[in-house]
Amino acid sequence: MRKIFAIAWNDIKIEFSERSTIIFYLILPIVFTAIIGIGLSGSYGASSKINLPVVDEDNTTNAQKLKDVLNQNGVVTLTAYDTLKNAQKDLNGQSYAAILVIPQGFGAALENGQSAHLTLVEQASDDVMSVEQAVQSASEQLGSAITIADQSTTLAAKMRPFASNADDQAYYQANLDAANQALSNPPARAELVQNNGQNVAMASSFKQSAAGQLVTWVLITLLSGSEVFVNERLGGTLKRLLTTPSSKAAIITGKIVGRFLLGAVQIALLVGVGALLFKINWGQDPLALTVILTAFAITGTALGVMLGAFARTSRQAGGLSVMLSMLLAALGGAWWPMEITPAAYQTAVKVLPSTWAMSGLTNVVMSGQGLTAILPQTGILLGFAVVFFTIGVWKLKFE
Amino acid sequence: MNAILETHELKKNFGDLLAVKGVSFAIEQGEIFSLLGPNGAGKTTTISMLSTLLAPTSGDATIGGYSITRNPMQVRRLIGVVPQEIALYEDLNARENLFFWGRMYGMNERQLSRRVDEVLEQTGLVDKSKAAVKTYSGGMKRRLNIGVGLLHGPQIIFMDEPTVGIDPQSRRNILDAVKDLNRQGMTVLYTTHYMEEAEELSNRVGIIDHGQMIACGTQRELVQMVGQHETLRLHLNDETSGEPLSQALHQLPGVFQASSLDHQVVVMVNSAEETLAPAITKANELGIKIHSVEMEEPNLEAVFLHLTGRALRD
Amino acid sequence: MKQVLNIAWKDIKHMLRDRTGLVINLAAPLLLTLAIAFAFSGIGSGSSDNGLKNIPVLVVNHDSGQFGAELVQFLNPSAADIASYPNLQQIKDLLTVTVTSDEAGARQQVNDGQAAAVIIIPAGFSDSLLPTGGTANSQTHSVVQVFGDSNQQLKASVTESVVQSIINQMVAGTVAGQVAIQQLISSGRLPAANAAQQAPSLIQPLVQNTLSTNLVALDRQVEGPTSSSGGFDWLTYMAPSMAVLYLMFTMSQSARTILQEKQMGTLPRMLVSPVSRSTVLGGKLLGAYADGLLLMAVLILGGKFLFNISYGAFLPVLLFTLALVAAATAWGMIEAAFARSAAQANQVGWIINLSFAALAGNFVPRTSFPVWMQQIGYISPNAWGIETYGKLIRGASVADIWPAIAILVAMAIVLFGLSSIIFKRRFA
Repeated sequence: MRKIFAIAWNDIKIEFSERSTIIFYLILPIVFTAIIGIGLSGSYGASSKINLPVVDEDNTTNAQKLKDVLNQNGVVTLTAYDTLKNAQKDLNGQSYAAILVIPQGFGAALENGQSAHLTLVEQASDDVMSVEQAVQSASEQLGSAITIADQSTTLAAKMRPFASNADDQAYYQANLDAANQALSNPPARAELVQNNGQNVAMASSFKQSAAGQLVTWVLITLLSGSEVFVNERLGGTLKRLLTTPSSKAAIITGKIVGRFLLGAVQIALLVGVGALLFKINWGQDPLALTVILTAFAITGTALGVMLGAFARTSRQAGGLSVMLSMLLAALGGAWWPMEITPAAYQTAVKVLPSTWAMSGLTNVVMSGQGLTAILPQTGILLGFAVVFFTIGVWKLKFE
Repeated sequence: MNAILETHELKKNFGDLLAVKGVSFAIEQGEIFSLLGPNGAGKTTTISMLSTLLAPTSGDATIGGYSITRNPMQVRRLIGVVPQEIALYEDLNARENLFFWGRMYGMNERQLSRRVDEVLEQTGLVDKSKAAVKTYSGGMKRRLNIGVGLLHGPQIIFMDEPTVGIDPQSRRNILDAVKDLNRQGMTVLYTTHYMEEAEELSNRVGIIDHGQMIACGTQRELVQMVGQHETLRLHLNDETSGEPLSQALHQLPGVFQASSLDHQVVVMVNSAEETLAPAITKANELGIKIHSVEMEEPNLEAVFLHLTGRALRD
Repeated sequence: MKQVLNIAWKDIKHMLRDRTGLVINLAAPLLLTLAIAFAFSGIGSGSSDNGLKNIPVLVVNHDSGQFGAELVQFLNPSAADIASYPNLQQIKDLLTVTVTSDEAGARQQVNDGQAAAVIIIPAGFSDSLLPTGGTANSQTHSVVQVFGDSNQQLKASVTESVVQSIINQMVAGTVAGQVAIQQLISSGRLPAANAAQQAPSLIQPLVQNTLSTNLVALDRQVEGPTSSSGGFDWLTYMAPSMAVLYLMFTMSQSARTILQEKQMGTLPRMLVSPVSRSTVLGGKLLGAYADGLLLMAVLILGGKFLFNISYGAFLPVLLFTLALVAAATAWGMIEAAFARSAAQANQVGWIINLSFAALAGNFVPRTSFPVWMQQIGYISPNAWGIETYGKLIRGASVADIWPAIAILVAMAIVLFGLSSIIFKRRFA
């Protein structure tokens, strides 16, 4: 037991043999959490309106009405352009969700009670769904009002014909106004309430979560330890360790403990500074958060050491750790939400430790759940750690 | 004296650390010159300056007439360097290493090709020339390390502790190779902390300690500094301190210097034979057990001891 | 010049010899791209259903009136319902609805992740739509709560949209009736006294028509690369950001070899051979640059032939990639210049590369950063890479992207210059 800590402490000392290393070591998580924190506060804070460029080729009252309704909805802010080409040129390089085109003839068609078309020129963007919804809603409202006015006028005419065209028009207009007013203040609506109590105006497809960032970070930090381990292997100090009367298991455990402690401090910094300075919401249960993070950190460390046992040069180890950390993070759901993936995919990625880490972390961070919710994931993660550990020891044996 | 290399008050400071404090010496064309001194004396730093790797803080040196500070490029063409560490690309094989370094010296391909074959022959690496260097034994790597230094046909070769950490047979090979090279006309600057090597190889020796050249000359001239004195070396048992004995021995007639080092008492005497019996008697009087005795003719170790009061190897 | 090539070629040989390392460095981003392709394969067009189907939801109805029942009915339409209102087909495909009266149990199912949401129709829902009394302008506002699983935000959102659109239609229907009757009364066509009795039969066809008419159709046009199903090609959007990320990490690694050679002793050996410092540096630089070009070539061509990702027209892509790799190499060099050992360079590299990736929007969309932060991001080749490859994918020409090329080249020159000054001073 003492040997394990001796090995661990030695590794830590070596890592910090140059004073400047400590600075880098501490700066990195803080910088990272600052960037992510600032970015996330943009998405979690008071929802800002989405910019919707509008090209009005029609310029009739109906087109204007549509725009008025859109403005009222509170989801989008309209920016006017005279042609689609101009809009695209002006926006070239920026990302936008969609451009709304009101084609010529829109208003006229509606006047005649015929169906009219709107075009949404869309880009791959997080906000597309929200924009579609807003435009759909506004156009439905407009369409309904017109239909109502139309139908009502027809009914009235059937009951008693109009004296003149003017009367017809007036009646139609009165109905239209009444309908619009009623529809813009509907007596019933739907409202989405999330079970974690957080307010999200409209879920976007790929908003990154704090949990995802954390998982990516843990993986990168801990897997990079494999490079250090390889250097040791090749440098001869490991051979020397192996000649001492310590079991291979103890040696590997010592290495794991050392790297784990190094990583743990960085993770703690990331979470702590993120919460205190950048108001990142890490959930309601700090204990549960600590438990799941610790389990994942152990797994990550064990994987890093195992990699270090297999890689033959430090360049290989470096490449492997970047590759695996990105792959594991991405596939495990850190970079896009699991729910958009096919069922086959979701089953397939269950073999990855990161999937379970994400599952546990999102339960804590996103759904505000506690210890009981993450026990299964914790267990599985520790199981992974044992497997990696065993493989690492086995590989060393045959060195 | 036909000096191919001359240094003038070479100094090197690293911040507060005065590594080389003004070293001046000259090396004659065609000789083997050893720079002898304990670890940390400043040998490697001096060689680094002479090979134009490090700029001196002050002072200068000329090699083949070119100044190391003003004409480093020309100096580099004249010198061959065999550094202390194995400076080879371990993932490449001997042939590839030699070709690479040869090209760095601007050798044309045909000439280079011929030289590579020659060097492989000379270093006995022809059979392994296609295998990666990382598969070579320590001795083979050292030989290749030397081969790279010789490749471009330099006028003088700097060898920085080339035999550290290798087996006796390889070491023997290297020493023989150095002598061979010298017979063919190569001037050699050879640094070492092994007295026997310096004794075996060199024409002239420069003894360096704490960044300063404390003695320089032929072996004979140096030995004469300690006069005709011989050395009596008394090895004590492990736990015993030699201090009381060395002080006592000072009093004996014919003793010029007595020092206690490690578990030895080293005495410089007129005649080792004559002083032997009284020394042992004195030891018995003090109840100090003597484990073994050596009697040495004057040698460089003695010179060093005489000059510094310390052993060459500690 | 020959010696620059000599040094570079030696480095390239090393890289090619390390076959395992090579495979890892080149395979990794391709594997990641494959993963993305798999993950996003379920997504069709960018339309509101996002390729989602059969979202499990629960409905709890506390309302005692006809509208509550209708809402439940429309959420789970029968064949007859769909025949009357064809739009309902979409809802049937989208949602898998279970009706229950146990609200607490339903909420629990959402918390456990078994359902994406539970739709809670409050008591008084019908009343708010058509208050008994028959007059419009009731003051009560009814809220149908969609209680969603925060782990399934998308599905919960889609559910909310569906419920909202059904409610919208219902509201339209009731408004139709109310407005019509009111106008009939005020125009004298219908005596107020008879309203209550005659209204239902009068407005029934009107409401029916209102409900089944959709005057405005929304056409969607997707700009940029589309997938086979006509929707967004997410793969093509994510591929460049991954490529650039890997490029930066790889260049840090390549530049680090200069420090490793220092430790190995081969760098000092190079420095005592009759070549200038600039030549040595130039050789290392060229080797690293070649490494980066190889990586990008594999990624771009691999992306094209394995995943059908087109980065754009050949010439602009080539020119931009040359500039991008130069900038990335330069950053690698600077990291190595400032560090004192290979291990330290490793750390500096991590900080820089991760910060750049974050700033450039690899992890969080760039648009959620404040503007000043987005501007800072432009110091990274990552930001330029993601933005410009995005433009190229959408068909930009050299004329459109030359500023980006120029800036990256300038970045490379400045950083190379700075690092060579530092190196020369260190190896004086």
